[in-house]
Amino acid sequence: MESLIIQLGVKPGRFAELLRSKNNEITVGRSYENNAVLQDPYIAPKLLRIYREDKTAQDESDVANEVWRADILDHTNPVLLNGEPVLSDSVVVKDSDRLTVGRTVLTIIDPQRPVETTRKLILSAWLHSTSIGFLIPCVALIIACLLDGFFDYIQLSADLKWKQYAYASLISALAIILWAGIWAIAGHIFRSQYHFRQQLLVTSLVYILVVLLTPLPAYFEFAFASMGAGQWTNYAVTLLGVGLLLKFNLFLATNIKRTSMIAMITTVGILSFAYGSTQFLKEDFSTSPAYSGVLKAPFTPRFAERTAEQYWLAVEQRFDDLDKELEN
Amino acid sequence: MKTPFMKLPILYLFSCLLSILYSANISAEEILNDVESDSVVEQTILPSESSLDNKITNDKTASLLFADLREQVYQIRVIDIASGDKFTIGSGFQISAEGHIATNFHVVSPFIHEPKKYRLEFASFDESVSSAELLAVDVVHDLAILHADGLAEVYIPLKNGELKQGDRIYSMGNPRDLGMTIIEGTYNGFVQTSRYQKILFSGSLNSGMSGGPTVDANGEVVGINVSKGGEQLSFLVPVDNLAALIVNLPDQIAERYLLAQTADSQAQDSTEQAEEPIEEKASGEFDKIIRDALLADQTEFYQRLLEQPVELEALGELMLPAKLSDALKCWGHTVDQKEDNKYAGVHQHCRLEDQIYIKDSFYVGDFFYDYEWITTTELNQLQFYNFLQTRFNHSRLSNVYDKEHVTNYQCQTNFINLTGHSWKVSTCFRAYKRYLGLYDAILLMASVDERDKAAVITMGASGVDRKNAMELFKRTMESVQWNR
Repeated sequence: MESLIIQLGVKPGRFAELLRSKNNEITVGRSYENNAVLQDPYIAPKLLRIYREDKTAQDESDVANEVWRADILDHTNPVLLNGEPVLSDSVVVKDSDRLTVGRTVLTIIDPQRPVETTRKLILSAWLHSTSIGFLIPCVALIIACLLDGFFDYIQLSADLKWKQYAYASLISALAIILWAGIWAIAGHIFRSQYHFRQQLLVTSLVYILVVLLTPLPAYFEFAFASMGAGQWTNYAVTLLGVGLLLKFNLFLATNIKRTSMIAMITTVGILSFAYGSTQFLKEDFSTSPAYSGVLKAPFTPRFAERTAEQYWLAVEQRFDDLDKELEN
Repeated sequence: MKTPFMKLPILYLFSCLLSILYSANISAEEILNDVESDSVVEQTILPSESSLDNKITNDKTASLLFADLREQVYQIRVIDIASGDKFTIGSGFQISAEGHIATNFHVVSPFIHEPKKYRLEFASFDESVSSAELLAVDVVHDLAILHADGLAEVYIPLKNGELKQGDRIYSMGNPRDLGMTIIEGTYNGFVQTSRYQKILFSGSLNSGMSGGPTVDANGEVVGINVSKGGEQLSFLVPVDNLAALIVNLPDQIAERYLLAQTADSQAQDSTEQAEEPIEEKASGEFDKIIRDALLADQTEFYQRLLEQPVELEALGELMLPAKLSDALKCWGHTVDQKEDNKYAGVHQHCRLEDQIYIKDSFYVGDFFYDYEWITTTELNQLQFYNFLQTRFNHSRLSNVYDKEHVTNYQCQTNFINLTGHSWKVSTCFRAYKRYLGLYDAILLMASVDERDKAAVITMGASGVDRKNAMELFKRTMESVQWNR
């Protein structure tokens, strides 16, 4: 390699903090005469000298003979190469080696190192467009709130309880704005970009989806007259809602490559924790019966109907189970 | 919304019954402001010749009776062995020359359930204390017979004859460990709506008097003090039940003897498990007798109920089984659709007011059903069914809270087509662990195929066997008809 790059850290979303070698040499230390000045009290004023050791005597095209070498000029603190202390005064370094000096880690980079292929942006036209105004996110937010109120109205009460609905909607709106705001700050930290409007848009859209899907578990429970059906549908809806939301939040706020996977793993983790803790906290004795108590209209599930005889047979079966359980 | 007022009389009676049963635990040190002592003032009786005669003699009868009977009335004590002090107290009285003492089941129930933890003792008029042995119990009528050696051969005879409503009767016992007392009151016949015959005694019983005798002017026992329902409103177990238990006494002793024999022989059969069956025998000596009594009692009640032809009564557009038993107390109310409630409802509920005391926080014998017909002209379907869902709850049988006694509920919930209408039906039940074959069973059903009207039916029975529970629920469900 003709030159050498030292990377001083990874700050995603910013210019990489790199130091390129000049005159086939880089010096590292705390004093200001070095190429790389590291303000770390555990580093010597003159600590490293990294330079090209030219062995091209026989064949210039033989790149392998070009070796970069780091001289350790101070031994107050050990210098680590890929985690192992370097005992000698000099060591050969190559691409992607990590040199630990004091409390700072430097990465050696070969400028010819191949980089990953360019990833395609999803929804690049509007999600990443910096020209997205406040209008679209705000409209989405308002739709989300109105939909929330409307669902309450058609399901819960024949009265238009404006104050109550407005209050509930305002709380939802505040929660959405706060959520988007937190992710915008995260975006600033990780990518130096707030993307607040985009976060707001995404959060509002997912909220609309969740509002639309929320009644689904109850309908499933009703249709199958089974608490399990309701519970699992509930998990599925949560997985979809939270997963999608996290995916886009992460996508906008970080440079992480596999946002979908991370979002799914996080959601599954949250759900497993919720499921596990309910199972763990479940009392093994209760004086109240556990049964599916959901009633929904107008979709009377004719397909799930039984005759009275079938039903009483099932009840008898339950009795048998209980009696057997008692015997043991 | 349902008005709670309709339920109040029931709740009040309930709480009073509970309080007298619970307060059997009240210790002697607990100072209570006993307002009820004022109630000595009697209601004015319309002057008639006989009542005037009675009034003159009555003044003396109480004191004569007290002097006569005080030596045969005892304070029954359940002694906590570990602390050596009394755990509960009640009263009892001698019923035979051989030293048999009658009292309430609930007075001695701690001993019955945990004979290793407690022992029985009784105190005579002269404060002398001796130990007693439990011979027989009648859990259904809340009676028990004890036996003690070395008692005088004097006893209180049982009355064999009818009383007239309004007759003076006298109750004896030791209320709240304050000392032996006599109370004068009026015989008011049997409680009308009750599953068991209970004498309505217009006098003021207090806790601690449980198990004491109530005698007529001749000093013959007419009833056994058992509970109170309010001021000047107390209940007695008719003496016939005690007479029946006395007749049954040899059988019960023989049965327990047999049980003990089989348990012993089982213990001898397997030397390894030698200790276990003996312990079981000790703690469950009366379990089988209690269980058999409960089974027989519920069979009698439910079979009679199920043998009756179903009479249907209209509720909204439905025809539903009318009052299932005369022992039930039924209430009803109607809710009109108004500005602030968008539905109209008719509500009917019936409930037995008798419960059988097994032990603290364990009662059986509950039976109730609720019918509700709900319509709306203002709510849309989603709103209506959302509201209906708040009504779709299993009523709780609040008879027992203890893991030791019952299993968890098992439920079966499905949609059923009944005469062309779709219903969501949920049946739940749990088994009694100590009295195998007995269950608590609850039924809940709601019609789910009309846009603006629906019925919700709930029913519950505690201490019922499987066959009766199934028949009861089946019959209820199958007799439902739409009135169109």
